[in-house]
Amino acid sequence: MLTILWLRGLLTRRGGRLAGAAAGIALAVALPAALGVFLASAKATMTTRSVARVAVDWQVEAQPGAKISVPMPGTSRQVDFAQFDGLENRQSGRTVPTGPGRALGLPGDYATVFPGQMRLLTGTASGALLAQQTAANLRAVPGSTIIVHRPGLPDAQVKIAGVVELPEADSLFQRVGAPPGAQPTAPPDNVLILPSSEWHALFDAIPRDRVRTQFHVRLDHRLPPDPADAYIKVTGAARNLEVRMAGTGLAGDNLGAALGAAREDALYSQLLFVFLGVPGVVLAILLTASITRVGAVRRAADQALLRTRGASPATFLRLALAETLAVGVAGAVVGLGLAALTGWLSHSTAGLGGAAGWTIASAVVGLLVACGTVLPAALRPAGVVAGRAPITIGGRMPVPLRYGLDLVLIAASLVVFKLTSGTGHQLVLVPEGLTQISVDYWAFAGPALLWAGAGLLMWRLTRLLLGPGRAIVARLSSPLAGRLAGTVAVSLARQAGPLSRGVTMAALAVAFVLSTATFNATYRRQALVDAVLTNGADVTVTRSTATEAQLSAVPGVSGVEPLQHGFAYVGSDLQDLYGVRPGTVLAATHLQDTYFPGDTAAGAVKKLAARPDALLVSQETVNDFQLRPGDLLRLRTQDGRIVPFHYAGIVTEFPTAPRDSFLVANASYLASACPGGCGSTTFLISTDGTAPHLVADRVRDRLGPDAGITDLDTTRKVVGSSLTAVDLSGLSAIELGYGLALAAAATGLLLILGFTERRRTFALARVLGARPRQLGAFIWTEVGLVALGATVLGAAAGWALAQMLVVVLTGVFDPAPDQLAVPWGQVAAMAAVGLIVLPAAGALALRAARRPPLTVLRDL
Amino acid sequence: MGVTGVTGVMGRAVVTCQDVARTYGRGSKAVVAVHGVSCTLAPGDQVALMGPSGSGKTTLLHLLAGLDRPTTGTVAWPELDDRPRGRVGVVFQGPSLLPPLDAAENVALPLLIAGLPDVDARAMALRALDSVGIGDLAGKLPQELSGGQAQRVAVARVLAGSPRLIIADEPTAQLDSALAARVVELLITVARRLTAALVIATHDQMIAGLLPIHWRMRDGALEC
Repeated sequence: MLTILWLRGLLTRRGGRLAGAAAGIALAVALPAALGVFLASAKATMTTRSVARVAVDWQVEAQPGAKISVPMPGTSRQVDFAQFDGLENRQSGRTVPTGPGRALGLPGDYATVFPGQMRLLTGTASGALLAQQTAANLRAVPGSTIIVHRPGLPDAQVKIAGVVELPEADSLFQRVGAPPGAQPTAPPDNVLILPSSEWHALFDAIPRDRVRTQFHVRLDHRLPPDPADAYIKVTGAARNLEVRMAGTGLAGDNLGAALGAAREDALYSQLLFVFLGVPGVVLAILLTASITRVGAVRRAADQALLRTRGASPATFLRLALAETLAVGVAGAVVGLGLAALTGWLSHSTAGLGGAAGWTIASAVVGLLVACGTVLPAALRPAGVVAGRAPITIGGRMPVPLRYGLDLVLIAASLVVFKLTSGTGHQLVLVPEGLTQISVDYWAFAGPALLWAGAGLLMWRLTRLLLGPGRAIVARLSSPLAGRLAGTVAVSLARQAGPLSRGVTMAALAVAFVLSTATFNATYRRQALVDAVLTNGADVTVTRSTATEAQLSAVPGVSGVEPLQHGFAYVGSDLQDLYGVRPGTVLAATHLQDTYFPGDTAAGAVKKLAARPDALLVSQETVNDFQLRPGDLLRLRTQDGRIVPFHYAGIVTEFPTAPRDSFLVANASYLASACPGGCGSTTFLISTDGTAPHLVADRVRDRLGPDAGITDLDTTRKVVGSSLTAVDLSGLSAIELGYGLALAAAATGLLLILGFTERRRTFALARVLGARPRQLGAFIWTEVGLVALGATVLGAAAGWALAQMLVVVLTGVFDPAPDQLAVPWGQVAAMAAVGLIVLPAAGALALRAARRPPLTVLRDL
Repeated sequence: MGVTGVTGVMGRAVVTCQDVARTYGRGSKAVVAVHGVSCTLAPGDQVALMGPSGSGKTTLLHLLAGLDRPTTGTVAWPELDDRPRGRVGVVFQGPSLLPPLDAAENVALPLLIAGLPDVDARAMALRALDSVGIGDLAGKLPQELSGGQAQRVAVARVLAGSPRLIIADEPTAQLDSALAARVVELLITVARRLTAALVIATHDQMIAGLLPIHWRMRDGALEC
């Protein structure tokens, strides 16, 4: 009965404090629960996308001389491969030959069962088909008759029905069972696709060592949503099949490979979510603790009254537990509700049930937070202890600060950071041949220590400002306080404990928002940079005779930049050679400074512009040939010409260039050195804001199927890891939302609760004759201190944390960023919250202080 | 019925009340705390305001101090040019010191509020503390003071402001009788030194006996 009475009293008379504590717990529950829902949804998306990107799940290849008699799971079709010696197109007296290639024999419904394997570009799919590159080499079109040079057999004639693109040519022509390093570097140049019956008619009689037989398998795609679980299931099934085939065949597990990459990305994303989410949860816990501390004095008074009326320790414990349970359960329920709402608003495919582990863990966290913050405060209010010690200005620092724990933690953070961010460090390790991947959790220590150290340092700095530095506070408050400035500063100095904690909380909230937002913004930018690096520009055109003017005329095109591409030998090493226009290349594509070690993008391009025969080479080439700037380098083109260059700098990445060695030179110099052209021209097209895929379609309509046209939208889906494919905007929104809520609570709520506790002081000041403006001096100076601390300290800590996060989580960036992206939108949102919440808190406090002082004194 | 102080020196009244009433709340919940009160206090008047709990003593004191406004009737402070803010010394029943300020700062606060320079305010505060015999407690915080010491600081705060009217609402309620007498004697001394009007609300006959004028309140009305 007493418990119910006490709880009812708390709810009616101390409802604000209880609601504040429950709100803090709700945030501590909602953030991890919402992240869990988002993560579960993101993982399921990764699995779905990985599955969707695989054209053929398994390629089961019969071993030479063996026959597979084991039934295949799912849906399977037999595919036959044959090697031919060459193709020839004879048209109107002209013969166009090509080199050796592969002929595939496909069943009639192959394209239906495996729609991702082929894309018909022109003609019809029923009959003999040529791959796009082959058709271009042969100058063949639907209706052309080509000659197939068969090994050991007379030539045969085939009438071409259509031209197709083979988007997954690499996996289609993989060497099944060979380790990754032994796979062909590129698919065959010449590919002829025949109906099975025709293939058998042409190639059954060729030597058997030139023929292979595969079963292409499409599995049941009802897989576990987590890519790691799906990977284990699929790879396990593939091994099981190989065991059952007893050596007659090997399984090329394309789906397993895709899921393997996705599970690595999933783990990265999980780390990302944890890295970015945990500080928010800790902040919510600290906030709850701060809120419960604010009411300590009044709580002590309440309990003293209870004690005088004979309440026993057991009664106190019962009442404290009841309050803890009420606040904890309310906070957990509201928090889970918020998480569910967040999931619904962000269109997550997984609800709270889909992330059951996170949901349960979050609710438990909520109850533990209540036990760790509300229960101790309810059992023994801090005011009871604090009341015994006088509030001295510039008194002894809290124990952690007295021993310099803040500086120790920051130093330790830097040491750990140095150790874990060195060259070659991998946060996520994928051991060869093992299904389990491991995480170097030690790398977490750097940011974690920095968080703790920065928080303590903020606490120290605020205390120093309020204590020894109170003259600064007095000066800051003097415009409002006038002659009361000194009194205001002293008054704040004597409240250094709660005030410094409030400022630290606010600064940590700002740091949380800024660090996560900066990281996310940098991540999104680098994902785009990665796609640009691969595609070259918004739209890229190859294998075309189109002119710059023709492409510029396509609607949606804002700029066209020609890029020469050929090959040249450096010693015996054949490398890609790119010719650029130094005057315009910087504006046409994205060149990061990090692509040019020891230089900047602008600096490297300037070197090209300064000397016509300047050449940028890879680091590997510099090492191999011991090059020094200015050294003469003679390159041999594929047609045997020797072209002299001078080494000008290093380039590690370049749009459309391969990851290994390549060369970048002046296009004009290349043109003069190779009058007939040293290669082909690639056009980098910038759009005027029109979606790149739309512009690509328009260009395709103009240039026909022979031209190679790629766009940024498609490339982002194809080249990006599955992590990149997960829309981080949802995560950003969640973190920004909760971060802003935390910041609002850490600034506004703590201020209002603090002012509420000091209503008596303000009322007394009014009785002594203080005018509203003079009361405002006390209030606005405190508000200003919180704003100043949160802005300066929070921004500094946020920037440092973002820097460290980007380096520690460098594995998720490809390429590594050369500088952080500033999330202006989030910064503006943060500023808006501050501009609304802080003045609102001050205005509310001032309004409360203007109440008739006797009414206030009577009510308290 | 109107009452007037009789010991006051000649000159303008410090405060006058004309048919003053104060009602809290509205309608059926309205509570009439004070009604029909008319009174005048001249400089040097020393009044013991007595009456049972709930009779309206505190409300009348607040009206006299200008901390509350009457619902009907008028309160005027002719000697204060009708601007009582900061010029009426008030000693409360409970703790009235600001917790984050030490004794000297508490005493100096109304002077600073009134616009005195910091140095002057502090010097006057120290003098006031000395004059009530607790100069050695200048640097102590309210939480370090006993109840009697805190009330002495409150008296020093009144003294430092040189008010023309001193209002004390049961200033000895939480003190033992010996200490209570000392505090009231201190208030009387201070009022005499300033030629200020003094009103002390009290239940204690011994305290009331120290003051020459006795006002009694019953059910919100002032009796002679």
